[in-house]
Amino acid sequence: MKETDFDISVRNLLQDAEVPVSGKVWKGVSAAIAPKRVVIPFWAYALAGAAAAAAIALGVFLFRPESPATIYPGAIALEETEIRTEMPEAEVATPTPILRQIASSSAAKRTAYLEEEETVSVMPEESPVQEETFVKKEVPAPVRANVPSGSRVSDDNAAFNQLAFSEARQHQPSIAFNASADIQNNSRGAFSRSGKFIPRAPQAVNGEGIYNAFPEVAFGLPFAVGAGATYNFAGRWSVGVGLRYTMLSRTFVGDYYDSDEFPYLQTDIDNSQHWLGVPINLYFDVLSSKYWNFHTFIGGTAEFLLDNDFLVHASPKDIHYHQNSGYPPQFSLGAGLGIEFRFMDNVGIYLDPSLRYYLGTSRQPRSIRTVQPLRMDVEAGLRFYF
Amino acid sequence: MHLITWARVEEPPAGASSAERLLPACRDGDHKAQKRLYDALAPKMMAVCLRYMGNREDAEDVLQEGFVSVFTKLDSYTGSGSFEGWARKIFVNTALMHLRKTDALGLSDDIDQARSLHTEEASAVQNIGYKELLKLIAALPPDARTVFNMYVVEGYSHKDIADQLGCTEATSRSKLQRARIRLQEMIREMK
Repeated sequence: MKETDFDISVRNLLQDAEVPVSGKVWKGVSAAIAPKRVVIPFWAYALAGAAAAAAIALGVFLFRPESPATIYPGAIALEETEIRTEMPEAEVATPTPILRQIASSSAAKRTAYLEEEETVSVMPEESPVQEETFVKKEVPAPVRANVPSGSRVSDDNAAFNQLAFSEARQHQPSIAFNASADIQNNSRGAFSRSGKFIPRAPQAVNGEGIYNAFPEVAFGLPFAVGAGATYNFAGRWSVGVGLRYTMLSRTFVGDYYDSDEFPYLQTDIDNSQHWLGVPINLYFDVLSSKYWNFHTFIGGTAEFLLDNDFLVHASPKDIHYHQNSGYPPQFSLGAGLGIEFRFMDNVGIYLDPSLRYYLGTSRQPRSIRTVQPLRMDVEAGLRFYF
Repeated sequence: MHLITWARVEEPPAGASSAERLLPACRDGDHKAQKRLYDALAPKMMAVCLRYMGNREDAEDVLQEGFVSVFTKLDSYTGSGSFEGWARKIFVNTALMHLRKTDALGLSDDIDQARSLHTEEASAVQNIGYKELLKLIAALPPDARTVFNMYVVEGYSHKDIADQLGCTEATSRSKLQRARIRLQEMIREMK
């Protein structure tokens, strides 16, 4: 049987035929030919991270900078300051009698204290601090160098004297700036919306579109970074505002449609959503000391979608598909408790865990928020005081 | 001196295709080079797999298995003939293996029926694109499709086809004839 013209035409037509390939093929090939590697489980990373964080926290706690306030004479000075702020101006102008009373009172306390803690304080030969106190004979000022090493008993007891919760932090209106990072959980827990999976209709734009082919979706950890300012407007009350960038991600097996003659491509798709938000929070200081501050807060955030990017894994090259239009701002409400540690005079490190609820998620692009609108949020950062 | 000799051996020949230039790095296990080689070949080989398997899902299975064979057997490519041709044979063989496993070929000797048909020589193919043609080929019965692909596109002889598929040469001819006629009918129906 000889070759026909038909055969030649077919062969010529098919000689350089190309068909796009879904990304999962390379994934399979790559897994089969890659040298076997030791996989370190996630818990090992988490454990290492937690150990490092604990070590840093311990280091900061043990080696925090000393200030005069950590020894008794400084405590007197602090008390003096407190009295000054609370007394009428006329009385503050002539503080000597009051200070004498305070000093006597403090001296009595310290004498009792020293009788109990004989090993803690040692009378110095001559201390310039003593010269300045009104009760230098009766109230020897312990010198930090004489405190037994490795013990924070003295410091903590000294802190007891100055631990004036709440009132101590009443101060003039001030501003603090903060830089933070923020993660949320990516699990679907008890509050997730249940029900049967219904594949969404392709969101057709110029003949293109993507929809989930299967219910399985792997959500990445929502991650955010931000900066803002906090204004302490009245005693324990502060208001904070800022800008926050958030990235949400998910991976799923989906169908990609385009206007080509091979419209259907089922493959792995990575979806990353980029949001810019404006958080506004109201803070209330529950407990405060020189180093520590426990606070609670409530607030809301308005977020705007910057980009909703789908990375369609395919060969010879991956396809980027953007679906950005038609989404309203995302509003959320949150409330939480926080803790802050002032490790320097004007710098504090804080941790603000909170619960946050996302409103109107049915009109938003699919993400972990649309599946579970109530989310656990942990923000950590540095706060700079001016 | 030894290193220089080694380097010369690994040097791709002048006029080598972009895929062939990647071979030394691929043999060394360079993952990026392997991905580039894959990207260069995958769409063409996908068309080959789709012609044989008739559907995307099976074609991608064959494509994946074929690439694993290509990468693991790279050392057996001696450089005689084009690399793409060598790789294409691997994909065709992988596809045939799959078809045999699934008993999709089912080749039987129905020569008399085939002889009663005759081929239209007029080429109806020129007015359609390769994507449409791929779809039409995919719609052929597996046995006729396989013989048609091997004979018309890959250039196997009927003897080779008979050896590969375990049938007689007469059966191969008959299947080829039936495939041609059915394909031409489908092209006419498209218009």
